[in-house]
Amino acid sequence: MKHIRHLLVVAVVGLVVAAAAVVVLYALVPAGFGAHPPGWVYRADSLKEHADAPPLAYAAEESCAQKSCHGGENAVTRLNTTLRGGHKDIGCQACHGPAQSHVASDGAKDSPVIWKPETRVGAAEYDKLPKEEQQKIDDARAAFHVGFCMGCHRELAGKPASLPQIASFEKHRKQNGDGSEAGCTSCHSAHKPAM
Amino acid sequence: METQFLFPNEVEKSVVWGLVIVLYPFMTSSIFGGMFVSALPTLFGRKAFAPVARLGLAVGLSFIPFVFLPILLDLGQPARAFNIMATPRFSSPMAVFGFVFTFVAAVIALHAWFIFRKDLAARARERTGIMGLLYRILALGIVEVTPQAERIDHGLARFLKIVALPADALLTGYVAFIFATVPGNPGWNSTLRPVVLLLAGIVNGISFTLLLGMIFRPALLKDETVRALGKYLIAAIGAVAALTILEVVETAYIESYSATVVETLFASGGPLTTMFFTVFLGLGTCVPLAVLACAFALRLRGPLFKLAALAAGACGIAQSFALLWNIIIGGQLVSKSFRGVVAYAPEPREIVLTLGIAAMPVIAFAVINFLVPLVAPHEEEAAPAPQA
Amino acid sequence: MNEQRLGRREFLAGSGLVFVGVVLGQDVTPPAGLVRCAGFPAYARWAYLVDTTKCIGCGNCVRACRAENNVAKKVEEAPESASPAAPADERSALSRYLYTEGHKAENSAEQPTRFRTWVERYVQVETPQGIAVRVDSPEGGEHGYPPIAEKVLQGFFVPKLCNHCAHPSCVKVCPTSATYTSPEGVVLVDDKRCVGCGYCIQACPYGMRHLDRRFGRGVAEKCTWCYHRITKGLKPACVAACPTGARRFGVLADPEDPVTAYIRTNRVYTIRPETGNDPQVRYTQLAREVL
Repeated sequence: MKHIRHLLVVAVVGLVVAAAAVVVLYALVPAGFGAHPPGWVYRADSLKEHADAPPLAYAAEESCAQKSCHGGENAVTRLNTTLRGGHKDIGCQACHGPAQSHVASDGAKDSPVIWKPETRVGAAEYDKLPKEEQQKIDDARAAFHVGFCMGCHRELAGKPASLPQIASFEKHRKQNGDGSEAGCTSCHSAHKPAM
Repeated sequence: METQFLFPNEVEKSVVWGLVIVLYPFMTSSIFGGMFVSALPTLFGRKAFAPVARLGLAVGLSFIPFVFLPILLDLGQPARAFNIMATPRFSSPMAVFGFVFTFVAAVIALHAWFIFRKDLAARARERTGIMGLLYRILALGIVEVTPQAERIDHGLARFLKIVALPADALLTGYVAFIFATVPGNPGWNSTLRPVVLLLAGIVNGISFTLLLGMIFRPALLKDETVRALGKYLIAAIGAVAALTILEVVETAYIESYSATVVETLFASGGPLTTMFFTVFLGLGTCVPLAVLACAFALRLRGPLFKLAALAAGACGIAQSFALLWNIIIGGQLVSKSFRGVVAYAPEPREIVLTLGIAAMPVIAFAVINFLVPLVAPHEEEAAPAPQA
Repeated sequence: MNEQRLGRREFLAGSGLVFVGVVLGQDVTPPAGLVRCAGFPAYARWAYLVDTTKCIGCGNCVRACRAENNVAKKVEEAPESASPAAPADERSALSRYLYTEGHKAENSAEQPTRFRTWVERYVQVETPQGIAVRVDSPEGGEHGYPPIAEKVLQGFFVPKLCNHCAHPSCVKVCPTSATYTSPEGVVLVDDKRCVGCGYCIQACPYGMRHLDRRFGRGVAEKCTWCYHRITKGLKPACVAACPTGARRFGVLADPEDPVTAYIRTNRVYTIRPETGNDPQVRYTQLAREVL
């Protein structure tokens, strides 16, 4: 017995360590782990966390054209939700930006806009402004629209030929307008872009 | 326009596993190397290595506690490290590594315990105070070693060594597997990885036995032992170099779609040129082979030969390091787009961390050397005669 | 049966099903609107189709992804206190315009380096040495592309996103089961289990994953096909923001779905199928240069 006493001790120590490891590791397995068949195992709540977060930024496509919003005749702010021409199939949020906060607040929160915040002035407010202030805003908007529209329409290697492309806005304006107009939207409507 | 293209996520940080991770296979393979050296006299009957059997074991032992350190410190969430063992995915080589390593570490520790138990027990009886307590704990409270128990221990140690050596080879191969099985990285995909890593481990084991032995136990490195180690070192360094060159030549010859960009790594001024040609082939391969060849050819004896072997050992470590650098860092220098290569220079933080981790096994070796006698190899050679 | 979608094993199994179905005179449509992925114990419920002929490289999708998913911009980025719903494009459209006009990005420190999706531009140019292909994706295409000085023969844009592979190598190598395939076939990361080892980043042949340093010292992060949206019946943000229909998303189980119908009746391609990952994002007109 005394010749193999050390073997017993080492076996007991080994078993205790192994048991402790099993207990600790078992405690580290999260609840619901592997509950989801089939095949791969994962923490069940993770799927739910992914489905719940993060909060939406982009709203459902159908939100904008609802009757009570920008769609029907009696809409609060009736805007042109019917696109024509080359922009026919473009979703609202592609240009106007993520709209979920706007939709979720029933339009109370700032609408997503395509102009810079400093040029975002309500129509009533705009009318009250002096002439030169209005001009400033007009210029800023026009300049912004040039940048925005050219984001897609600037001529660039790699773009498909079917996309109308403009090498230089200045040249384009001189060729097609009288030169006095400031931005793209002076001639084109973004919602029906043909002249 | 730039001629090279990296995927956008690679632009800022392409090398996800940096210098610290290079240490990880380096240390794992060193365990195997140490075990290999210690197994040479006991399992393979190479009596010339008998004086360094315990040295080799101590080399292996001193790397074991720190193998996890490079990975742990490199994790994004080190506090969650045990998730790897709590919810492992067994298709992941890294998850399996955790279990294989635990098993191998336990076997080697047990093996070492059986070998050193007699000395631990003897010192537990002799010493008092804190050291006495420490030895008592290390001997698991059993301070009497009967001759019969010693024989049993000897048999068990031998059995565990037979288990530990292939298990450790498996472990080292597995570490190579972690890299070799990544499908997105052609620089890593090679069946030769595990073999090369095992051979590099032997280089490391012999080199560390030489270096650490010379520092801590110079008396153990007898002339014939150093000569035998030198011969094995030549073979291992040569084999590592041969297989690596074979791999590079194969890549260049096959001309797969990723070969062009891989070649730019080795081209003049490429990011791997220095590490491959200068450090790996030059300093790591040619220099030690030449030094050892001269030492043997000139029939150097005594301190001169030891000096040559020592220099070759240091170069061997450089070879292993350069080999692993070329695999691990080199593999990541090629963009996944196959249209560009990136340069990599370790940050100061990484260098400090690497040096810190690399110093750990040396300290551990010193501690082992302090705790147990590495001088008494007799029971490794032959079992004590049964007492009638 | 759509052979493109089904792997060999499933195709054979499918043939068997058809046989059994014919014999028993029963409908062989998979139950509960789920379609089996090739050789994979999960079900692909959705289809993602990229039409490379339609992409104009506007970068809307990249910006939309950032806005929707709050994707980190830098490796070491402080937690963002701003609402994730805020438009992520802090750079004004005007400066974007200037950039595309050939000016350098105004503040290079601001350049984002973390992407769940990006758009690559492939341009074939004529050089004195012959025809060469130039590939670029400056800042993931988020803020436009510089002009090309060489003589351009042809060019196209390729939007890239996670392929949600049927045999994902990232899932295979994850040591902690933190990354997994959802029952619908979407590859996700459990950011509470991930240890941030980076193995999945190494394993993904498409460079889709990155370490998101906002969670402690980092967890792996990737495109989820906007899992929080598609499970609510919405389209992924990149699809909602795409002005040209280059990115399309549909329900794979519904044969009437336009995307599914397209996949069933046209030849579609995947990027680097030779990796064995069986990528699930389909591309039309994919050039061989695209890797």
